[in-house]
Amino acid sequence: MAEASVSGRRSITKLLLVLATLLSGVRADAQTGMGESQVKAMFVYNFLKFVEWPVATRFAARDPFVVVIIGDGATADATEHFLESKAIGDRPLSVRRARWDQSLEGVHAAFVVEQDAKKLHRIFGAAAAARVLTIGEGESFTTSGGVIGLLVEDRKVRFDVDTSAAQHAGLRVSSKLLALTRTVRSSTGRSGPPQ
Amino acid sequence: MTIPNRQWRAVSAFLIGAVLISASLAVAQRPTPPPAKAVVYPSTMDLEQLMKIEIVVAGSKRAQQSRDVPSFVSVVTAAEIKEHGYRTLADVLRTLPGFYVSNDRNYSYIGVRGFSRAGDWNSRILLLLNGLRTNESVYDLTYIGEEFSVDADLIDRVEVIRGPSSALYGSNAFFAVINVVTRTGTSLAGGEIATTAASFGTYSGRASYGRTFANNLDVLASATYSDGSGRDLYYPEFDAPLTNNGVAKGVDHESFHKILVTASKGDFSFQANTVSREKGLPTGSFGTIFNDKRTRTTDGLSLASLRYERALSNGGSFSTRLHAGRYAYLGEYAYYPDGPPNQDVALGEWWGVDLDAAHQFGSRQFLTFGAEYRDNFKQVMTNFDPEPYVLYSDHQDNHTRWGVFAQDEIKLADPLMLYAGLRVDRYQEFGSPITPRAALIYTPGPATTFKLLAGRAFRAPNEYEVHYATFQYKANPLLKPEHIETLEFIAQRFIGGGVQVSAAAFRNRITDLTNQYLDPADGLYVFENRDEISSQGLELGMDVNRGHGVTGQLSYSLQLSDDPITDIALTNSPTHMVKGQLQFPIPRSGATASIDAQYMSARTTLGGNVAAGHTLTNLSLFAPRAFGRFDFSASLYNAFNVKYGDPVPDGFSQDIIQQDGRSFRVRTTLHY
Repeated sequence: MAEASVSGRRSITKLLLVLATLLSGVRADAQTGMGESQVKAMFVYNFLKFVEWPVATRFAARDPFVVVIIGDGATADATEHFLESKAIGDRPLSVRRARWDQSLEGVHAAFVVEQDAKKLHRIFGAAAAARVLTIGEGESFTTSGGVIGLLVEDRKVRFDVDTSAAQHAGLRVSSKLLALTRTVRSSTGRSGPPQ
Repeated sequence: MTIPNRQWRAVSAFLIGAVLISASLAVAQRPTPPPAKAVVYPSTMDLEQLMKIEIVVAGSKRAQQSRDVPSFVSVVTAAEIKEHGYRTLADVLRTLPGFYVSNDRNYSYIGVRGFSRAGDWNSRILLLLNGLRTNESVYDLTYIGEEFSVDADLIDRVEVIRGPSSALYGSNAFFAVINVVTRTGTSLAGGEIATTAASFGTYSGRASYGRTFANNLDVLASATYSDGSGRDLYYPEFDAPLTNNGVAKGVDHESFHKILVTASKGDFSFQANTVSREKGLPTGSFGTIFNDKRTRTTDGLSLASLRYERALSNGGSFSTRLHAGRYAYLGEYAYYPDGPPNQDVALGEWWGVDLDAAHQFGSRQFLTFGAEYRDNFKQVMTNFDPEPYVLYSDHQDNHTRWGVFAQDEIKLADPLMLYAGLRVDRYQEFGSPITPRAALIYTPGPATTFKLLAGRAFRAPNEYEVHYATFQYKANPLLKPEHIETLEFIAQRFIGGGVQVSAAAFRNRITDLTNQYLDPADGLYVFENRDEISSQGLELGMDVNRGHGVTGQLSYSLQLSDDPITDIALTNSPTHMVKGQLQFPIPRSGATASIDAQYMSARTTLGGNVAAGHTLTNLSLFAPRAFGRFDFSASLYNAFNVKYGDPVPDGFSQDIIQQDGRSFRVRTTLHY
């Protein structure tokens, strides 16, 4: 018995070595292992690094960077959870929940889950006035006035950016982010991702 | 149906728990500065890395949000495992609505929705490791205790899909499919060395290393070793001068090692793992000499697989997996005072290939189809006394199986999805079981989901059930597959404030249940398809995430099972379970504290006795990145030292096996 099990282990090791050798020559681009909402939360965090807010907006060094979560859902929960302990440069992130009709003064970014078109319109209006980056889910998020919309394609998370909505709020989206965008929308219409 | 006192007690326990959790959440809600939260996700991933991540959920074999999976799904994450001090998969599963675990002091057995047969070694559950079947080929068994394939610290998440899934996975996907997803090299991003000390002289160590190389090769390698001397145990059934007055001394030892290697690059992913565990048997079971150190079991499982997956244009995908496995069991049973013990040996070796393809048709249909082939090329069961040599059984066999399946997801209207699936399996010995499944998912808004499911699943009899024959057992070549039919309704809703509520109602009917009987004609045990079981029940759950690291879960499960022919309630089947978990940060320390409590009502036993209802409470502290590079965790299990026991399978003198009282575990993890 013991003998048999040793030889079995040996053949597994051999198989492992052969496969590892095969693998090391192969080109790569995928990993697996995380839930959709967790991955989306990490996207949200990254977006904050690639957007510039107007200089006039009340940024004192070391002031917290304020993100609000409007609405409920798995991605909203994961985003709140993920951002809690994070910082953007020297600036700690402050995350809190907000109702759709609450003021967005002093807020930098909002993750929005809202289906009601009227409420959404109101949120986007308030966000543009207060220079707030709006991030949400689904293709319709950017077509209805949001700045960045997350979605899933081919099992991978992708995002759309509406540059005119960003401009409207006085935000500048870095070209590095736009280069990774699935669809860039702007007042001049739709375009595919830059090649 | 009249409601007996017991049920009221369970319902009031649920309500009191709900009030307590709400109250503690209200307290925890007070504005404190956000504490440093445990690192849950890799914090260093940039956008390029994120764009490459694939989202996986096993429920319908392709990536989906769990609310879209046509089943009632629970997910437990790495963060919860660390923060709540879960030692094994068994610890994870016993926190979930509808699940419970019993232990016979050797193996742990899953109970789902009122059904638990210790003697099936979990073969009515399909347990996947990153999508790869871990159930072996001789007993179809799979393990959830320390004998499980990977160290609990390496689990990224556990996805639990309730209900019959044979329509996708074939045999063993009877009550549930559990997919354990392991961490990646990226999530480790360096090395970890963990050292653990626990009650009953248990010491273990783990060394892991993982990273992504510049050429995008993601690698993880990890090894764990553990050794425990176990407890001295008293069994009144053996309280006689000849059997050490019922005290089993130094016979409860457990030691194991586990190795996991994963690598992924591009569309390829590779995994290999091996586990070997040795356990002493302190219970004097199967007629062995009580308190004899020679009696022990050794279980070893090794698996390796290489998978290729490619996303196709318009939402389709193609994947294939080549895999091989080996299971070796050695039971050493001391029946005689002298000489080497009786040897009970099983060896299974197999290889197989899976193929999955998915294609989107128009904007409304998504079709998945696949095929599996498996060659169990070596199936050995031997039983002998080495000296003087007597061979009681020597069975050698081999067989192939294959299955094909298809599932269509049809968008009937915008918020209404229909899933329809069918699988046909081919067994040389028992023909071709056909298993259909259908589900309707209605999503009236982003916060609400309703699911209606109907399905059928099967479990083919295994090599052991059909062919095992010794001086105590006899074979039954006429065994056929058993079946389950399930109807289930699920409602889930986010009600605001980070609270999600869910309810599931189910009805199960099992036919041709394979069960072990003692044949009065010859005094031998034999497996027969004799029983029919009906069960129905309800699961209510509440998940709370109040932000700032405050989370909680509360659930109540009700289930009633009986044999409709005899109208006798099932053994080892608790009518009520109430479970609560609460986790909150300790202000200004960066640490988290958690409380887990599980109530289970009484269970009847094979011997007609009753294992009393009980509540277990576990307390854990977790301090991540203390002194920069160390995680500390400390847990107290069964904190109130509650005395309780589990019903056990045939072959034991005991009818109920007393479980551990208060015990602890402390662990330090160094990150480098």
